[in-house]
Amino acid sequence: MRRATITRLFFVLTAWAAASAWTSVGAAGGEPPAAAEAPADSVVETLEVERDDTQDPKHPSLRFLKDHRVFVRAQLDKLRLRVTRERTGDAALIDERFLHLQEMSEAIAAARDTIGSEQALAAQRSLFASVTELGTLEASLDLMDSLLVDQRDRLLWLERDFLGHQETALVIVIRGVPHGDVPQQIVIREDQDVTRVELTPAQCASLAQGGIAQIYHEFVEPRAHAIQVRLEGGAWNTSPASVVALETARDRLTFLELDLSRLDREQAAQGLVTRVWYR
Amino acid sequence: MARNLTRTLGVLAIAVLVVAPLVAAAGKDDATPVTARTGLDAARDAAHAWAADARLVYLENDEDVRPDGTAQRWGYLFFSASRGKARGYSIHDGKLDEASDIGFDFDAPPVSDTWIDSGAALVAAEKKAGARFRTEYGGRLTTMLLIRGAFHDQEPDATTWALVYTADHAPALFVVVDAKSGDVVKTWRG
Repeated sequence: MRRATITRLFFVLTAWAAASAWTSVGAAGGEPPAAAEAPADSVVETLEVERDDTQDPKHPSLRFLKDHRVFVRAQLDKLRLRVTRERTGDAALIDERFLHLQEMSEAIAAARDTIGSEQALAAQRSLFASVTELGTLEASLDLMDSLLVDQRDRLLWLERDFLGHQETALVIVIRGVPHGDVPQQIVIREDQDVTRVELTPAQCASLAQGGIAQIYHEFVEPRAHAIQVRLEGGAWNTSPASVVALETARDRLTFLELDLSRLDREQAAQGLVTRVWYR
Repeated sequence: MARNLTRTLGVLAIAVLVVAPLVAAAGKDDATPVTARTGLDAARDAAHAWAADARLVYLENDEDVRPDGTAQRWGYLFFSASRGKARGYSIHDGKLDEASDIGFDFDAPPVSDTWIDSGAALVAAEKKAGARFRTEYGGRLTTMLLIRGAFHDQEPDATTWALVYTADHAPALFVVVDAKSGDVVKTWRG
């Protein structure tokens, strides 16, 4: 049991170390490996002309600028921008966190050697010759424990470092599928930003069995949002969109879960169950 | 008849006495007035979520400026070259209260990284001409704005505060303060 835990922990840390090593190579000037295939996500920009139906804000803002925009614009039109780029050869300080990552990498490698030698010794022991050797085994297990503690400290450091740099972001996940017609797409819209996600039959089957899928993860403004959610495909094309209101918290990750299982095509605007939580 | 009228008036008077303070309290803004720089981080965070290359090009008080250069709400305007448009953020009580596209072209140059805060700019403007204008014409400060290039003909690269004083029966007073040195560089009436 204990060995299994150690092995699993090392697998996680080794994967992290490999990833950080790749990042270091990239940062040192090496070329990152070419992508094997084009990313699945794509952005298509469309141009459309429509009447400006901007709603009046709750509180007037930037009044002077709006009232005198012609005057200010005329003043700005007299200006000309000249951009000068100057490169200096001064040495830049390296973020001490990067140095700490390097130290952690070395400590992980050393711990891996220790584990390897301990495993080799254990394999050689088929029978304990005396009680004294049981004491040796105890010492070996104590060593494993101390290595585990060190690894846990490293993981905690990484988690603290990661959480300390969170920016305002929104993650939308979906669960469940509506009864009856299976939708082919889910469309998330706020103002002019539209995200369209295909739902394959395999994904729908997975959702029906309790799976959860992430469909959106973007940086957002920390404010109140009104997000339109609409299903498309077959009979869903005529169903109205549901509007989800939520407030994203500054420098935190806001999760929005959309439960599609109770959606009714006739009354789609009412059947969407949502849940919001923050991290 | 007269008794009924008296009773009705009495009920109305009580209703006014009870409801009026509640209505006044509901409309009261308890947010602490702050200087312009105080809300900058919140506005910048929001702008960078909108566009990574967004730069501050303009700011202005969205509520009345107090004698110490603070206001309960400031408006910040960011321009993104990649999006080709400007977006305004109104910060109230340390939080983003309103975000909206400006609705017209405003590809102004970004303000410099260092600029004196609204309190210091107001002190300079008051000392030079603002206080005298207020006294002589019964005027008041209506607008403080920060912009680069638009109001300083001799130093178009400079970021400047422009303070606009208005009075009911006199032309407005404009005071332009260099946002780096804190010196008043220009005043005019118009």
